[in-house]
Amino acid sequence: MPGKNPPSSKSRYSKAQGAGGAEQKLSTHPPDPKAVVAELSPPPFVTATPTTPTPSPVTLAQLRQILERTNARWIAIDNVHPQSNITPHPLGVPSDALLIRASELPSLDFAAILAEFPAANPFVNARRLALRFRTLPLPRIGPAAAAYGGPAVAELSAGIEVGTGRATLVDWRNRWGWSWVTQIKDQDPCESCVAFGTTCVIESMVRIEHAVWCKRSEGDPHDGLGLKCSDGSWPNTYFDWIQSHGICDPDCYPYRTDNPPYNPSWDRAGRTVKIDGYQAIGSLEDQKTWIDAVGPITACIQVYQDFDAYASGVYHHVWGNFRGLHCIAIVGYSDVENCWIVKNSWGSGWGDKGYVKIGYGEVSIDSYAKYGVPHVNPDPWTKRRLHNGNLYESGDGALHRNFEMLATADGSKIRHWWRDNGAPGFPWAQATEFGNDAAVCPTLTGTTFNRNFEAVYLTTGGRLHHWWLDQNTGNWNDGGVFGPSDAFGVPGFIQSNYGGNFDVVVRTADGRLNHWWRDGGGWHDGGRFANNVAFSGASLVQSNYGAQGNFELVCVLNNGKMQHWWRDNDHGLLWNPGPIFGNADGPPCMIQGQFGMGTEDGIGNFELCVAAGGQVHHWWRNNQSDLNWYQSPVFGHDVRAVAGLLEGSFGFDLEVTVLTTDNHLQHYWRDGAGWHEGPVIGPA
Amino acid sequence: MSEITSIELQNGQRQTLRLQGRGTVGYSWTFELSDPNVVRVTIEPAPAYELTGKPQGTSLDELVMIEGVRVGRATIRLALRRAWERTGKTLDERTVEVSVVP
Repeated sequence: MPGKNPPSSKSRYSKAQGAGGAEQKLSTHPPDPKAVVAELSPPPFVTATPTTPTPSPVTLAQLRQILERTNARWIAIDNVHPQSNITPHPLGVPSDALLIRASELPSLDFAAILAEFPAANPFVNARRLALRFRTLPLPRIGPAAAAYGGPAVAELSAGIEVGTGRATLVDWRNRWGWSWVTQIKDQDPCESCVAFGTTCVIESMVRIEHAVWCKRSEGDPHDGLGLKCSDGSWPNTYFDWIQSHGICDPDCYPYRTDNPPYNPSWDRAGRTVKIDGYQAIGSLEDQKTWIDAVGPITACIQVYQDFDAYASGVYHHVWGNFRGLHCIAIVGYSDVENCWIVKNSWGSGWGDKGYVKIGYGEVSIDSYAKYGVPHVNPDPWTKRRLHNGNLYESGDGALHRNFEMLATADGSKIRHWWRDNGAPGFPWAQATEFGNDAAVCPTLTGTTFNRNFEAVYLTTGGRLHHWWLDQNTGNWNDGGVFGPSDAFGVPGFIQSNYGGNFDVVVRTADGRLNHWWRDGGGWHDGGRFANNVAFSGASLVQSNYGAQGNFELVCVLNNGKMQHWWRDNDHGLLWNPGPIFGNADGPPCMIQGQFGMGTEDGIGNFELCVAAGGQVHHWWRNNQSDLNWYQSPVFGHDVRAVAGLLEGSFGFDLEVTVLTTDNHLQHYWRDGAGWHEGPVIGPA
Repeated sequence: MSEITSIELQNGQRQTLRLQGRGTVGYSWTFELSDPNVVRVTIEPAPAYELTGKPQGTSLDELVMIEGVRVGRATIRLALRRAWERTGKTLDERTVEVSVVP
């Protein structure tokens, strides 16, 4: 739709351009008295006559004068005093509790809000520093991220803080070379726009705060609230529910339009993104600052007929009847075009591939509070492909991104370490110890069993041992010994989407790989495959190849080469040998990361780290095109084995733990500038 | 299947048919008229005040105003569809058989 300034008089009865270019009257009937009453309400309805703008009446007596002057027919519903003030409820809003007027909200104390929720995303942090919002602790900001903050960040390194002000253009669909907004969805045919606006905000906040794509189900809060397809709602109603219940992924409970009974999967407690709260934002400046420094927000608008015809440019309401009340997500703004960048929920066939730029102040978009979510706590299922080995990023801690690590200690015990990623300096601390039969560092994960930690390790007796931490008590519990009698390697261990089953693959003494899986009936032998295997590692991943998701792993062969194996979970569950590549001295550790995932449905690259020649070799497989394995720069020193690998909340950084030749655990991490040596954590 | 309604109007008489709207989902009622010389049809949203107190996502009903213009018969086929999905599915359909009598 070409950008047009709205007419000075927004009369319903003024001539206007139709979609086909022909002038058309909006109404050919005598004024409906009730319609006249509605038009005399507080903004946006301004005038009741075609040519004479009339101030909005304040009292019933004033309203009657206007009605009499226009020869409108009316009936008084209630016997009230003529000097009674007309209750200024905005159209469609029964009370301020449900939708607050933007003008009634105080300015936000961004420094306080962002100090409570400091970012790990280096790009966001660079913006906050540029906006003078100091955050503590001050996470790593590499040269790449500093460039996005502009000169202010560079000068920060010299101890000088300079504010550059709010950005004049923000578009979270493409910021710093990444997309932070999930794809366009369609609420069709339900009046569930609030579900889509609020869910979009949460999906984006998980992506922004924790650097991971996260699909959430609009149906979860919608049906959880007991709403039907024809029911609308309010943003704060949704956010209140989500704050109490979390919001799960679509496979746990899908969006449906047939009013089903609300019946999510049994493991919903471990599949929900949680939020600590949400924020009502009033002034336009605060709203733009929020979008610049935090993320997308929800907004409410009035829908007019010409909205259907929008195709491109900046939308200004010019013609057409009022149709109803709508909720959308604002994913950016432009002070150059004077517009909000809006993600609608009418499918990608509408508008500009599902998006619209709405001019500032149009269709009451700035009349009411907009809502943002400052902080989210993603679930283990969302992050299931992003970690492997003895290192895991949990939702624990004030900022919901602590590192958890398990390592052998004092011979054959297991020691639980954790790193407080909300504290200055990111200190490591020791938690409990358990077990007494560990031969290697465990493979650790978080599961949909109430976000419990689960670990499997090779025992000194050649078996496998399962332990799990109960999030309710904080205690590690013995899950029992299982598996082959001749296990002889680091186990790959995941929770799969086969009903939440556990799957393990471990090398056995005969140089083969043995698959074990656990369902409600216990552990089962899934058979052996491969030959001439020297090392198995924490490299088992259920990728998003195929409908079910293939199992993928990499092992090290007797000749020191690595081999990729994959199980086709859509056709016969057979393991297939993949290419042989590289060199390795120890067990590999592999994840499927976010690199290469342009959207939430993309297939991320495999990232693999393995010890070779006393250093760490980093390999990655290009899952976007040629499916070849490529080696990145070698790093580290005195490395005996790679113990853990994850891609965490620090803006797509890779984090590695290694076992050194003097039996210590050390941390390495990679940002846009390359690999960095971190601290030695402790003995193992 | 399209729901069929039959109405009889006197020449010059008007009748309004109220249909559930889905404007906040991008849907609007459209119509095809077999004989515009017999009836005149306009579609407008219901009064805006009907949304007072209603939550976000709520659409105004749409009022189909049918006026008898000349004695005869005409068929009005109404379809609830999205303007940008002209060849796509319709969410709802109605047929009104109109008889205009003297």
